Order: sequence, then structure tokens, then C-alpha cells
Amino acid sequence: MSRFRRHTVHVTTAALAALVLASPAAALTPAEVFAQVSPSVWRVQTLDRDGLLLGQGSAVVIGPGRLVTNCHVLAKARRVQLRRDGLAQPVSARLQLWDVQRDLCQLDAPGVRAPPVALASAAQAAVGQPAYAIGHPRNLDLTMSAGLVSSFRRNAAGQLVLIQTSAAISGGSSGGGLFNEQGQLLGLTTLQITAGQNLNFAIPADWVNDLPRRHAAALATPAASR
Amino acid sequence: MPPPFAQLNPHTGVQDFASAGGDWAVAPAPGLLGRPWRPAPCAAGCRGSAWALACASLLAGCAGPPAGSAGALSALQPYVAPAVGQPAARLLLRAAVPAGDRFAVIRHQDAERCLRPQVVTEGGPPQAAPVASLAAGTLTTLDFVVLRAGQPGCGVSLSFTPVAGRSYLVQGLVVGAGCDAQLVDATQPDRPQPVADLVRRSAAGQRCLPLAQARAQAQAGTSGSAIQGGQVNGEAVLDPRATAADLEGLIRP
Repeated sequence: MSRFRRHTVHVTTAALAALVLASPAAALTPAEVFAQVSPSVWRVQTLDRDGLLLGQGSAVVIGPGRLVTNCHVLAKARRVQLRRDGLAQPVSARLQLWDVQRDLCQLDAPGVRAPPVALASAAQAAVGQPAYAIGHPRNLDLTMSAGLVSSFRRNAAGQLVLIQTSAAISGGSSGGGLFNEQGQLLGLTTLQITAGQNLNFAIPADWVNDLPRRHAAALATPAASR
Repeated sequence: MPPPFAQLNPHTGVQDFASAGGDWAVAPAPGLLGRPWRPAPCAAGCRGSAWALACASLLAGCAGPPAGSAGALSALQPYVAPAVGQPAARLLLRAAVPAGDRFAVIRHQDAERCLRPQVVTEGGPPQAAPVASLAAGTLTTLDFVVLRAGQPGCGVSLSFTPVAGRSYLVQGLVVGAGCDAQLVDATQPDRPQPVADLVRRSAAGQRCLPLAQARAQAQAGTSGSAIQGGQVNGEAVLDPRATAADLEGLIRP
């Protein structure tokens, strides 16, 4: 009897393991995705030399006190601060790494206490899979929209440049997160074609891993980066 | 042999780049609209240029009301296509213009200064413009022009160097009192590509920008598409021309 039970347990365990290995991580509901990642999406405010508000965007926490956003969110700024609903005081941030050709910048904000998101590789993504955009469009804190990965836009050499999505974004969404069903970061919502409908684009999260190397390389060849 | 332009919009005669390439919508950016031709430039010395079409047709814009301008094209020198066996590229022309208007592509023998125009190909609703041939490997300045019955014409000047064996598409349209045009490499008709060295010579108030100035403007990012991205040192980028100038306030506070 006990042998049978042990055998059953082994078989069940093996079957479960096979199931886990054979299928991707369980899909979360949109509400679960939001609950998991929204603490890691912050509002970016840029200020001019007089401390006046210059612009706003979004940023995503990728490490302790480290956030990524679009460089165009930071254009012309003299200071950067991060905000969230319910937080009385803004958190000061400093530009740490930049890759303007990829419109990807990293902010250093030790005052940010939030869990980092996991990065997803676009190579594992597929057209048609659900995608969720979370950001701060038009001052509307932590707005989530749902859509699909609509396409992958590539340069003339066939390299991925943008992830196209039908998840709605607006001004202020720039630098926000585009997440998959596991709550992993697919990309940073960056631009849209306003002449169409639901034509929105995110730079791939894979570029986050390249940022330190490319930043250093750009600094080594100042003409290219400045 | 290249495939036919089966994807042309049957209503407008214009290829629908919006569906093919994602970012080549026919509608031009407002800042790029060709300015309408005005009588004044004729008096200011546009003789020998495509802009003189308006002048040539109707005492040239310089006096009197505009009239039908179809005859203006025949007043120009005939175009001499490259001889058989010479390196050449194909030129196709599609345009969306109101009924009664004519459109054409004019090539300047003096590509640098936009002088000595020749009509390469022309058409008008419902007549399609015949496919033409351009000499390859040499700087070429083309004007897309629209000759409008009873109104000033308009034109857009573009310079590039055709590559032998490739097909180029000039795609133009009338917008309000002006017109706009773009030139793409349509060697693969279903995957139009930007022309690498293309520069727009016409700008607000000027019909033939000096080449260096036009190139500088192109370098400054007045054209191109973020959706297409680019490549620098073998790596994909969103905008190859981007600089960190806008971040200076944060880099060196």
C-alpha cells in the first residue's frame, strides 16, 4: 500500500513537473498583473532651472533605487523627481545612464522603495499575446490598459527596434511599462502613431541589459553620444 | 522583372504605404507641404527651371491670370533617357491630384543648381504616367510638379543618386494650395524603403536649397521615421541621429 502511495506521489510529481516544464508560467489575470507590477511604475516629473514643471512621464523600477525611462521624457530638464499617489513628497532622482539613440535612460533614486520588475525577452514574445501598459498618462496615475502584442518592428537589418502593441498609451505614458501575462517587462511604452488607432510602440526590455555597456561605449566616443 | 504594382489604391492611384510599411502614410507632415508656386519667383529669375513652368504656360505667372497649364510641359526640352546598356534605374510616378490637373516629374540637367529642366514622365487623372528610366550613379534632382487649371502650380524638389537596377517611386499629392511628394525605393514594391541619400531641396520660400544645406537639414532629422529605427555599429537603435544635447542639463547640472 505504502509502495503504491509512494509510486502515485512520484508519478504525480513527475506529471506536474512535466506540465510546468512544458508550459509557460501560469498567466496572471490583468488584476493580478497590476497588483504585482504597479508598485514598480512611477511618475517622472522634470523641472526646469527655476523648479517649474517641465514635463511628465513614467518610469519602471528595475533594481534597488534604479529605474528606466525614455530619454525624451527627460529632455531639457535640470532636475528630475519621482512621484506616486499617496506619497506626500517627491523622490529626487539623478540621471545615471543614457542611451539616447535607443531613447533609454536610467535614473538613480535611492529613495524609491519598490520591488524591481522581471525583464522579459522579446525573443520569447509572440504576436497576439496579451500585453498590458501601465503608466501615468495625462496625470492619471497608474493607468492600466490591455491589448495585444500587435507586431515587431525591425530595422533594415532585421533587428528588433520596437514592439507594437494595441494597449492604449497617451502623453505621459512614455517610459511606462508594457508587461506580459506573467507581469514581466516586455518594453517601455515610447511612442504612438496618432494618425491611426491603437498603433503604439515600446522599445524592447532587452535593451535594458545593454544599457551599461552602451552607455560606457558612448562615453568613450563622446562625439557619438553628445 | 519586378512584380506589378498590384497594391496600388485603385481610387487614388497612390500606393498605400500606411498598410505596407507602417509609417509611410500618404498624408504629408504639415511642415513639409510644398509651397504653392507664386508669380513672384518667376520675375525673380526662375528661367530655365521647373518653376518656370507656370511662367511658360501663362505668360508665366508673372502676369495675367493662370490658365490651363498642360502646354507648359511641352515647352520644356525633351528628356533623353539613358541609352540601352547604360546603367539605369526605373522611375515610377503616382499622384493623387484633382481632375483636370496634370502632374509630372521633371529632371534637372544641372542637378546641383536645379536648372535646365526636362520632363521625364507625366500624367493626370485618369492617365497614368509612363514608367521612365534614369541614368544611374549620378546626382539627380527631380521635381514633382502639379499643373493646376486656373491656379498656381506647385512643386517639390528632391535630389538623390539612382542606383542601377533599382526602381524608384515618386508619390505626390495635392494638399490645399500646395503639394507634397516623397521618393522611395520601390524595387520591392510591397516593401518600399527610404532612399539613403535623398534630400529635399525645396523648403519654405526656397525652391532649390543648396545641396549642402539640404543635406544638413536631412541630417538634422527633418525626415525619417522612428518606426523604422536604424543601426549604429551593428546594433539596432531607434534614432541613429539622436544626441544627448537635450540631457546636458542633467549630465552637467
